[in-house]
Amino acid sequence: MISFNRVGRLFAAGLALIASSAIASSAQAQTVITGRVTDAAGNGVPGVNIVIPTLGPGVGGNTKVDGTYTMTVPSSSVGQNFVITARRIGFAPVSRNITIGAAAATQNFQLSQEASKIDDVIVTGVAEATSAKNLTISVGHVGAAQLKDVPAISPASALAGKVAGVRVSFTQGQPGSTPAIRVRTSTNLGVGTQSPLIIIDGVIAQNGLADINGNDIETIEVLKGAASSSTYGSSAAAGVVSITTKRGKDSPEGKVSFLTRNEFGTASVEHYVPLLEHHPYQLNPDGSFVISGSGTRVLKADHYIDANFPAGTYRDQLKENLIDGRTVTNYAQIALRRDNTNFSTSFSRDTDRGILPLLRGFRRQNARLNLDQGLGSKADFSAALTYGISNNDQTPTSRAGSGSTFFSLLQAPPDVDLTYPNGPGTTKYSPVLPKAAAGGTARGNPLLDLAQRSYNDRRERIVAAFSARYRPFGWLTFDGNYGTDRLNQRETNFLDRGLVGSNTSTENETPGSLNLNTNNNQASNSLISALGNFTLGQLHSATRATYQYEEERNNNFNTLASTLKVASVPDLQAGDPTTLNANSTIQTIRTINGNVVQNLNYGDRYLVQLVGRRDASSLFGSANRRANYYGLSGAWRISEDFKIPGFQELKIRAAKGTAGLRPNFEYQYETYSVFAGTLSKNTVGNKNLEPALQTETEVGLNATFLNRFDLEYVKSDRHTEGAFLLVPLSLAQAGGFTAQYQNAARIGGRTFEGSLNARVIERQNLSYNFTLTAERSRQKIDQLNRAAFRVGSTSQNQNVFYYRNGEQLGVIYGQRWARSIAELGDNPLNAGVDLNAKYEVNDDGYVVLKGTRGKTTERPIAYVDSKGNNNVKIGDVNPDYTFGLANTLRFAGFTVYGLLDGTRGGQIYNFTRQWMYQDRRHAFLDQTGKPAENKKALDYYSIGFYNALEPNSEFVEDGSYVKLRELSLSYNFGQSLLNSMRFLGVGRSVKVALIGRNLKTWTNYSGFDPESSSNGDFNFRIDGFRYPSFRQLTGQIEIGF
Amino acid sequence: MNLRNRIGALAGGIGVLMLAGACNPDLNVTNPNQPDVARALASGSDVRSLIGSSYNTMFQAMQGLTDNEPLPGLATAVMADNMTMAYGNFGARFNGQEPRLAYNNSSAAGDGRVASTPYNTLYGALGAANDGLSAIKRGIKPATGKTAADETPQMQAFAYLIQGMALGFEGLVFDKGFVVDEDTPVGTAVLQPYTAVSAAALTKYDKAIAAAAGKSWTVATEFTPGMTFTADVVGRTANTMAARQLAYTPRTAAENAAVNWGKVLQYAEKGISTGSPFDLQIKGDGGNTWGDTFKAFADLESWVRTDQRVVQLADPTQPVVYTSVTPPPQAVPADRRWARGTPDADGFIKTPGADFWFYKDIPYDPARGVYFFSQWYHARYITHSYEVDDYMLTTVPYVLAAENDLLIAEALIRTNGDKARAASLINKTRVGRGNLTPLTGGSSTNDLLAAIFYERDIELFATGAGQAWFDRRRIDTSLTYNGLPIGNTWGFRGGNSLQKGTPRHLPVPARELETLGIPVYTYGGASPNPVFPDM
Repeated sequence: MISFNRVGRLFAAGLALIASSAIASSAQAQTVITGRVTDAAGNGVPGVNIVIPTLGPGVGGNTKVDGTYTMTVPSSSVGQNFVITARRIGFAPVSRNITIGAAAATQNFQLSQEASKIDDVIVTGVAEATSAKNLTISVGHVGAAQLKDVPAISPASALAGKVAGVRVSFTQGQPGSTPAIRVRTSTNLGVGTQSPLIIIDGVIAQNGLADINGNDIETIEVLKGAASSSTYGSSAAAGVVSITTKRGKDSPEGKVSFLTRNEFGTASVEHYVPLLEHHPYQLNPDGSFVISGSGTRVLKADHYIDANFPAGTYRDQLKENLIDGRTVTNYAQIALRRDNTNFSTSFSRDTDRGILPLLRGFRRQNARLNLDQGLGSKADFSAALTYGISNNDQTPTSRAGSGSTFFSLLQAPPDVDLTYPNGPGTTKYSPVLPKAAAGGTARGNPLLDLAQRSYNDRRERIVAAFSARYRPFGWLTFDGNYGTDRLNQRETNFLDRGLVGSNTSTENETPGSLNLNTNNNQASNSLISALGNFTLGQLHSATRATYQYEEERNNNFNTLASTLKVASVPDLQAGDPTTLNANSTIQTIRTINGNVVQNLNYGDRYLVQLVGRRDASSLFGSANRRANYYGLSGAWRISEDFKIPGFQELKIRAAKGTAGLRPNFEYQYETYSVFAGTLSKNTVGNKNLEPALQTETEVGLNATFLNRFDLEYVKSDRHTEGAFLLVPLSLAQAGGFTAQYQNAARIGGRTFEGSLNARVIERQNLSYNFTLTAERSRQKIDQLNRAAFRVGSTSQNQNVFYYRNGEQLGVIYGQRWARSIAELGDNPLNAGVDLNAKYEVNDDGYVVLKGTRGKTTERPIAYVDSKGNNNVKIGDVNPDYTFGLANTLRFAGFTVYGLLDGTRGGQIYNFTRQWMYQDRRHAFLDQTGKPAENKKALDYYSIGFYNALEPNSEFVEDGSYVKLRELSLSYNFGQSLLNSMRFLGVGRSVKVALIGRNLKTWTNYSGFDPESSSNGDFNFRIDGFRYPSFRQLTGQIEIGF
Repeated sequence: MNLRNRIGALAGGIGVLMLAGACNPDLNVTNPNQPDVARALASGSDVRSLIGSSYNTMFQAMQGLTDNEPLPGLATAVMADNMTMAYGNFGARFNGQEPRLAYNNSSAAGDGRVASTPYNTLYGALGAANDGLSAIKRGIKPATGKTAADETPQMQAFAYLIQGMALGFEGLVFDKGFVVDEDTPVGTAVLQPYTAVSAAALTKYDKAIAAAAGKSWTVATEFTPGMTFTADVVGRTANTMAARQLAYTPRTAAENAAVNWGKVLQYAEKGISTGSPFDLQIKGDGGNTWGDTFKAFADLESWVRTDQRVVQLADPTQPVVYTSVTPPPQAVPADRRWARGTPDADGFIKTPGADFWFYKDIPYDPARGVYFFSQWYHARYITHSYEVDDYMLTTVPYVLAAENDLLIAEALIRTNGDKARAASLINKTRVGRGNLTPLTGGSSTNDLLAAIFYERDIELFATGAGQAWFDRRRIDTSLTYNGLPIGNTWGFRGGNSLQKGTPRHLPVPARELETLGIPVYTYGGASPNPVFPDM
């Protein structure tokens, strides 16, 4: 049993701090002030805090639903002058001088909503909702204004290009996939472990963002690292992305508002991988291929790929077989605000077919219900419920890797009709391609699996948050929250018995297989917090103390019948019992934590935030069950002290903090693997495993100048101590154990990021503004407590990265082809060799053996250094910088919105091309049009560069790109037109829009898409037969009333 | 201060409530998915399973079920020009390229698994056997349950046998290895040369032989589907494995000549072909836990073919490699183990009972080299291969009784023993299955030894992983068979028994070397690529 006294003490200390603010709050009431607060349209604004700061927090009141308020002032104040302030989040506060009289008085206020970006209100990582102006930490923010023009396909894609320091990448483009997010730099070395903590309406989301509809998002806030995310402790080193869904609070009082949004369009590939359109075979006089006695085509003596296919036989298998898939989104929202109730509900249906034929794609239905209910004057209750159900038939083989659809499609012979490869009347989608087809049959028919396999991935997700708030006094608020994230997933993968098989050179019947997997994840977090604030003169203090309990239970059950006895029965009973295999896992994870956040604000000039947090988790090794975190930040709004010509706002700030990463469930245990009842050794346990600890220091500057520009510039330095690594052991020495999870690495990162928001033109009928964000990051392995090792993504063993002490993260290692004869002299084996007599440089600039140019023996020569090592640095995935540029132009009723983003520099390992060199499918092998003396035999590529898939410099490509990620042209119907649509009722609006996503990419990269990374990790820019991300062009109509 | 007190009471009350809640969650969560090592080693039933299932692990290390890849069997068979395959999988193409390339000992190379998979798996098996033996030493009694019969004697002997097999395979395939057993403290072992590793294997086989001598127990058959390990079977298996170990450790003909063949004879005479002969075999379960992946591919016509070198052995009129895409005239081997007749309409000759079948079409891309080409494929274990729907379900051997006979015969010849007996042992399969001319005691030493190596190539084809390669590296270079220089086949390629630049053993896997902080090294290769010593 863990004693958790310290967390308790921390919390109690926080409460004491809150309680101490009560000192200033006892008073006797005498004079009554009443009034009403309205917005620009004259509607009452509820929830506005009316205070006389110099009289302390005990004096004040909140407006009711109709905007009216009542406050009482002590009689001792009669005759004195005071400043009275009305403030509410999202509105600019209004203050005025009053003199308190003995009689009741009326003070009405009109508030205007805050519009400028810098005035956004932040609720994540702070004690109380805070205007961005008064932040001491870096919080990225994407608000409704930035989301409404191009509704994001998913919440993560809504961040792309919009927040400096946040990178978003579609690892796999297939419909329904969620993009990977990385905030600033890597915090860990493992593949795919850079994801920030995701919070949806206060619920810690353990199951990702795949089930959340982008249309439902109100705001996204991003805490970028330990300097700002200390309040989230051991799960926040990679940052925090907090999503708030739409609520009914902005609806007009007493009115029901409807919004429908319907989007229809198509998805298609923009850049195709260039395919080889010629061949190297001998032709008969009649133009047909010469076929040898062993059934194969006969190579020309020169092995040059420069012969034309017989007329009409060449096919571009990509263009011929990939489709323009349909995409449909229907969205409807109803919101209501009446008295003490806000209510918002929505329903949406998304269909995204993708670009593969014979599949239905991704289909999702979402329902959301958000409710806020005031309970008397002191308490509120809120509920937020998101329900998503989706089905996806993108099979595991249609996604990525060796054996995938894209693998066999990119390698398909160019003169075969994949629908009827052996001619009309033969087996449709036959796995047996004609033997004489160019390059053999080993890759199979990519269409067969799409046609035969019954696959479905059904996800059912519930994210629910319930919260209650009690404000016993104006200065004290208690919050209680319960959030739960539940995922029920069922995967069915069925190949019927008796289907055409693909494993031999003749068609056969397959025994079928059935794979059923279920996944049941249930996570919950319960928290209770107290917020106290007081104002003493110019000093405003807010203190929040929070105690939280998190629990996660994961159940996983997998079954496989690898042979079926009965056809057409997708039931395990049909499986051959001798081939039935089942496995299951159960995980329980518990974490307790407490934190205190103290914000101090002196006159909106000097700002300080202090954070303390303590975590205890079952994921930490038993000898290290607790961890502490702190955050310390401050800002000075210089422009409040000094008037600087041209500057409306100038703030400098600095922050330092710590946050952690939790080990995965299995990391600490010492176990045997058990498979089908047999035992084998697994990992050595580690009782001392600690959460990885990131310490981040950031300094920043915010400025608003010339009334049009908002600038933010931040420099962050961070290092993660004790990053997890599965440290391989010498199996033999360790008695059969293969590895141990250890806190084995220290990773450093430095980021410069900035954003500039410019309101270039602001007129009644014409406005133009843009936001530019940019980031440059560098990351390094400061320390590695294990042998240097090769690493890659998990598919295809593309271990092109080499991790060692002092190495930058993301550096590509492999063989480098020599480009000068002199550098061959470094190879100790070449000592005393007359290199100039032996080698020459060919027209590609590669060194080859003299006399081999143009012959089948021509090969590139690998560089070997003076130690005899041929494994050298051949590339680096890290871009010089990344940027995003969002532009909005409005004139009359038209709005044009365009978001460009991209990277400059940073390389990609094009593993796809390396494979295609072997099978001779890539256009780079084409010798047509080359001068005779520069032609190369196919062996130069298919043996030389292909190099048995060993990584080499030929396949390192520049990954720079600029992408037109979002574009919309919309028209809001003018009032005169709307007047003719009275049937829609009041508040009506109609918008039509043309929307493009990923419309155009400018790049020199030769693959489908330079936005390539493996397994959601930006350090692994390896392009290996991934499902390409595609462009979408849609039309949208939005009607509100 | 009334209010302050009220607040204090409120805050305190909530604090107490929360602290009460805070103490409840138990953070000591167990991992219910996998057996905890300490607990498993204290349980007689788990110790029994641990030792028993290490036989399966060891079998996987040899015959390649781990990751379902025929490693190292296929790559070594290709290196021995025993099988051929032009596909890039399992290191077959890379290690079969002509001229030979150095073995790619890189932790980045997919082909690196040729060495690393068997290496890791066999040390996994060894670790489990060692753990089991040390638990027995601590007094844990292997048994199915607390009241069940004590199985210490048989599980102990069986563990010795597995130790021998693991160390033995390491000593045959790799240049170096760790010698670890139940008495080796964790982390103390150092790499030793293959001769020391082989010698250690022999001591374990000797312990197994001693532990089984005169006993009447049986190892539970749940661990050994396809055969029953009685004490007698354990003893005879250990004898055969010991004989193999001594005979196959040499890397050159000279080392082969220096083998203590008298000792080989001693072991083999007590091996699996004596008395009532039996094969070492397993029964597959579809490849779930049991299945011979090596055979699943070796007998799959669309993937793996019989190397033309072996075709030439059976029909000396055949070329040793193709020199163009045009096949040579169809081979007509005298040996009845080869299909005969004319191809059917599809181009196949599938003679029932023959081990090698014919298919006129060759699946390989000629651009990868016509030297990969062959129209022949092995079919003796086809019912176990991916060629059939219900693959890896049949019972298949990994050491034939015939192999033990051939070891006796070879040892007899090399010790100037009874040549007539040697001839009759060779004739068992040579005549019994191949219907070839019988040898006699009067046959020349060359003819007898050449016939042994012929039988080893044909009869033992696709049995134990590595066997063909172990033979090619030790074969007497002067041997001729039907007038062919079978001990020096590759004269025109600058090699002798193995093609020039073919590694004669594998290096310790790169990842292991990196972990140990030892520079990565490798073997083999012929010009123009980097060239390293063959051994």
